[in-house]
Amino acid sequence: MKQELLEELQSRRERALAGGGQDRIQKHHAKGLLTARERLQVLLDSETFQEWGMHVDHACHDFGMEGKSLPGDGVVTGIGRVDGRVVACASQDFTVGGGALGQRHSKKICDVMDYALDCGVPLVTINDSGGARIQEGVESLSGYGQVFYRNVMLSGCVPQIGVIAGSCAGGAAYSPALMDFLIMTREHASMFICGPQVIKAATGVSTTMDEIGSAAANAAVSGNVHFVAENDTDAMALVRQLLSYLPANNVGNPPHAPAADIDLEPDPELSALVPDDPKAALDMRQIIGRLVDGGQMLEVQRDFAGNLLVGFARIDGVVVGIVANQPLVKAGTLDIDASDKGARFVRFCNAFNIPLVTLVDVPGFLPGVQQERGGIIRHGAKMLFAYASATVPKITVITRKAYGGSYLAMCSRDLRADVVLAWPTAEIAVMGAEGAVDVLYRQELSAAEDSQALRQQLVREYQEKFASPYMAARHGLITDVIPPDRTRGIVSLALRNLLTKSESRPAKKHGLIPL
Amino acid sequence: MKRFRITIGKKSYEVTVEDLTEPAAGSAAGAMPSARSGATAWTAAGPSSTSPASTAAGASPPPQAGAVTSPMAGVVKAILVSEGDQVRQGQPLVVLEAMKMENQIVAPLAGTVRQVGVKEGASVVEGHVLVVLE
Repeated sequence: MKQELLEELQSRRERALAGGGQDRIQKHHAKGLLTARERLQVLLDSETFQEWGMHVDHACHDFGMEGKSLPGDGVVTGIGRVDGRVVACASQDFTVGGGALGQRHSKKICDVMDYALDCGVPLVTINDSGGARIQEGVESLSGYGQVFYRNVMLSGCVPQIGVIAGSCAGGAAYSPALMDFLIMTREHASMFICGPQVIKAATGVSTTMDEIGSAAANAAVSGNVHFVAENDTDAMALVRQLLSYLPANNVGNPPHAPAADIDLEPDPELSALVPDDPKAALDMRQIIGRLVDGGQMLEVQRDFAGNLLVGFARIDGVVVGIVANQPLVKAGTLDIDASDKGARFVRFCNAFNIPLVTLVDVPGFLPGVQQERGGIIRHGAKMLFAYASATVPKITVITRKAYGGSYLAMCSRDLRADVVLAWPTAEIAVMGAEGAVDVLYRQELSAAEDSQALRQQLVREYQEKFASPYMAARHGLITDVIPPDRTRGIVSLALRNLLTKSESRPAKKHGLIPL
Repeated sequence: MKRFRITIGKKSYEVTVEDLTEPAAGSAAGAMPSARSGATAWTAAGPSSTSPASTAAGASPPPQAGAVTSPMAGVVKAILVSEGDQVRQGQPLVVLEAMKMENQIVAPLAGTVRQVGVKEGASVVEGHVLVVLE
């Protein structure tokens, strides 16, 4: 073979790998950012990346673009491995034409998405783009549409993880929005539909990027983003950590690593975490810390709706999705945001065969004008819908409060939890004692001479009789009442015994979750 | 933290990789005002966890700077601080009885109590200013 051919290949590769050139790369580095290829190198196992379409260039014939080159058309795509498992990736290259999306840029992303679906492997996209390539007009727009369609086709078949590592504005935000988990870097990323200028022009309201499009706003206020990373390296580490809990696709099992022995010894430290006073808040984070391996849970949407905790963990090596009320925030009530957060997580776990462990300490749905007018009925119904539709193993532990509709919504037996365990501190009832007494004994109370004393006596009686797990146990609504210190072993054993669970449901196009 | 050198073409870059599977010291300090000794360290992936800015952003926007507002409707059971008191982050300020619970409302940030906006026994709605810190 002629040596020149190899030399030409070499020089073409160098040009492609140089992206937008040293100047732009230096500017990018000066901001503390990694380039598109560097991000993939940090994400993927060493030497595993096989790039697709390095020699692609743009397809634009207008606005003087004919003579210009956009190496790779502004995106680096290909297949690599994370902890030895195959992952399809696309990483937008901001140094090439601002990472703007053109027709061939879109085609490259679509190609790896098709591959992800055909081969049943997760998709990771790293977004850092100025948006549509205006010179390519409607073709660029169509490019977004092609990606969106595939996001929907992949949804529920393979995990989709989006990293927002730079600008992600307008329509571009809808590809990540259609994915399962979004990770956003704290400093240099923004995600929004209409920026402050557009909002000002259209509505007259002054706002800032911090308020509407920053990582903090997306993670804590709107809940669009699931994780905030300190920087690019941290974001890639989060992707790797997230993937360590997920199956490659909806047919496979999550990467369980079941321990040979299950430790059934009681854990006195767990009992010590349960307050004597039922009105004192229990810190559910610490309870979870005692139940899961190494006290470690990858918490999803940590900054959003803190009254409900969701995340991935392992129990004696078996991967689980944890859903838990957090009484330290809003008394652990379910509100609109918590319901959305919980239902989405439950549906993800169900789609990807991840068993659900639900920890209950819920006094009710949050009362309030804003909640009612905001549609808590519709949003709260998502929790019921998600749990009732879930066919994965479902284990529920009722630690303390479990009242009314919110009890049902936290994976009760009636929604087909496989195993429901209750602590002796559980209060499973239709409503709290005070409220119930006022309704049940309205006439007696108004007729009584000392209505306060009578009320107190009735409340006490109600509490003794109903604010316990035994009424529910008597009706067969729970599997067993267990001492808190035995919870980990009992849940772990039940989980193992459920791994063969297979449940079929009536065939239909799809259910209609109240969106 | 581990440091790696990445070589692309002829250029080398040094990057720092943080292993998030290792417990991060103090990562949940802000979230666990009642942490007990001997409790298992809580390891969360989101390094964002303890940022006061993001915690504050989760609630509805406070009507004034430093205002600690009621997260839900309830009755003020106890006021644990007085005007002029120095408080640390996570210190309980008010006990709010709501939803069958005595909820401790804690200081989102360290500061001085400039104003106490409620009296014991008062009924408050969501967003009511309980304490103003500066």
